[in-house]
Amino acid sequence: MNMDIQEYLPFLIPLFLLQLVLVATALVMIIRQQDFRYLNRMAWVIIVIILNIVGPILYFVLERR
Amino acid sequence: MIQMSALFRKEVVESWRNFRLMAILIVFIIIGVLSPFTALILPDILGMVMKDSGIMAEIPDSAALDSYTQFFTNMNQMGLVIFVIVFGSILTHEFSRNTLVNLVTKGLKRTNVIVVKSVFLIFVWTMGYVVSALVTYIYTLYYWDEAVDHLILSFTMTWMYGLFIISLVMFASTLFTNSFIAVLLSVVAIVIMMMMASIHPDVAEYLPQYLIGNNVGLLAGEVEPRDVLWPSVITGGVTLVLFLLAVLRFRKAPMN
Repeated sequence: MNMDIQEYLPFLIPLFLLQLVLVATALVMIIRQQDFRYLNRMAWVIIVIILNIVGPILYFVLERR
Repeated sequence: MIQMSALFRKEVVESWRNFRLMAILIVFIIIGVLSPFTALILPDILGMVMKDSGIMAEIPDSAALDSYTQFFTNMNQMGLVIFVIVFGSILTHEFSRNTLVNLVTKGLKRTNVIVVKSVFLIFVWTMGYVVSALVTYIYTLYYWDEAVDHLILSFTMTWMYGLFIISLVMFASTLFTNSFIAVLLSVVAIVIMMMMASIHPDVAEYLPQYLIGNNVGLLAGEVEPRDVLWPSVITGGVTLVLFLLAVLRFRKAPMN
């Protein structure tokens, strides 16, 4: 698996940064939020971190109205 | 006009504050970056798998066409679904929270509400889609630099299909008022019905579904532009009719 990672950096860096923005924003919002409609704070943190892309989207759709 | 611009600003601010606008843009850009990336690494991955299992075969290098194939697969399946899930509740959540009652009784025209919401959805979809398509286009140009046929027409077809889905969402929202799940299910039901109908080849050529099934065929030159004329016209017509029906129905929709 020594495929030249360097060659793929132009893809990997933007992908990583975009995901980071999604996850970071969702986490900040979760920490600031007091009442949760579904689940609780810990569960949302785990969902957002484990499921990439889908996790933050779920959070924005279900909790942010 | 004042009402409309105020409403539009309200929509933008709302979707900005709850981060949906940003989230959908990020997802669309991710699709834009991911598609050429997948096309680029797929031969490598296949090669490794084949070497491990001892199969010897020539794997052709990926081409610009593969990149666009990935883009249209991702966009037609993942992008549109996420868009509908994130923004499909734009009208229903106003009903379920009763937030429109005060405004409408104070003289806000109902037509303005639905027109602005439709325009806002179209605006978000167009913006996200154009950005996503541009990202894929630039990467593909940089890594492959090959010409493909009818690129703009091919991109436009998925965009038109998106408009069709938006009109469907708006019309279903005015029918079911406060249930987002019902809206979601009716959109899914209609798409499934169109898929089943397009088993018959004669019918398939006239359905909106034809538009998102033939992006790649058009790029590869297997489908001629005049083949997609009728589905485009029909999709455009149905979209307009659905928007019109949504406006008419929304004028009478109960708001309690």
